[in-house]
Amino acid sequence: MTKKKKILIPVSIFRKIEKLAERENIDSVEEYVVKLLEKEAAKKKNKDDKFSKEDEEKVKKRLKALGYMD
Amino acid sequence: MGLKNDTNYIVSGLERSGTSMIMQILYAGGVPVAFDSSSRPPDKNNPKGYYELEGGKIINKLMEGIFPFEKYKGKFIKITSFGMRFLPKGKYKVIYTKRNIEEVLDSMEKMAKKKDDNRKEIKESFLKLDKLVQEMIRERRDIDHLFVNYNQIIKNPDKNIVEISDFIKEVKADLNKMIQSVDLDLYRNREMNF
Repeated sequence: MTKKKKILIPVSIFRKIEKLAERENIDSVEEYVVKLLEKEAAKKKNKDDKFSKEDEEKVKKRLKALGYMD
Repeated sequence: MGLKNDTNYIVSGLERSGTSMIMQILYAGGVPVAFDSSSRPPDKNNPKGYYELEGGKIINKLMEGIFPFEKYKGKFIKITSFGMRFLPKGKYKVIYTKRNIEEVLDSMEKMAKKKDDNRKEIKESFLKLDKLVQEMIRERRDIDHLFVNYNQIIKNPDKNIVEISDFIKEVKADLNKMIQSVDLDLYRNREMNF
């Protein structure tokens, strides 16, 4: 069984999430929150892992300094 | 029996990740390799040589799409990770070397003769590049690949060099010479100095 930890959230947010979960026919608020968090974490990870233009510039600068590029 | 004339053979990996060592191993084993040591001769950062083409500055040609791949078919050449992103469609066999990123950065600092003031950031950028290129190599159907690890080769050259030799079974390489070419004193001292 997956280990779980408690997170406290404001009741007002809980109520909003409860309504959204109902709308999507998900009985458990917990299950719905976990799904949302998983989706957001995956999105964030993809963004963080991406080799961005900024990364490219940093690498290029380093390679030029080491004589690997003109 | 030799390397296939319809295939481009590449040694790749991040700069300072052991690509020169792999080229040196192949060369020692009698495997056809192409390099030009005139533009960047051996120095204290690579006492056994860089085994590069045009002093390693082929990245610019790759970016411009003017690198003559045809000319180097049937021979190993070195293209470091950044240049691999510009590899046109073709038929490739790639040996990609991985190395502990802290050692890669230490080696770059030593070569540049200056400490990084933004090491954490540059580490992230190189790690992302490394991951991106490894994924690309795994996904592309025109690339047959072998991942090797610099640190493992130093630790256990026999086992790891056999893997390299098996990967290029189309050429009859001298396995003993390949293993003997790894100057363990040089590389182990180098690891200890970092």
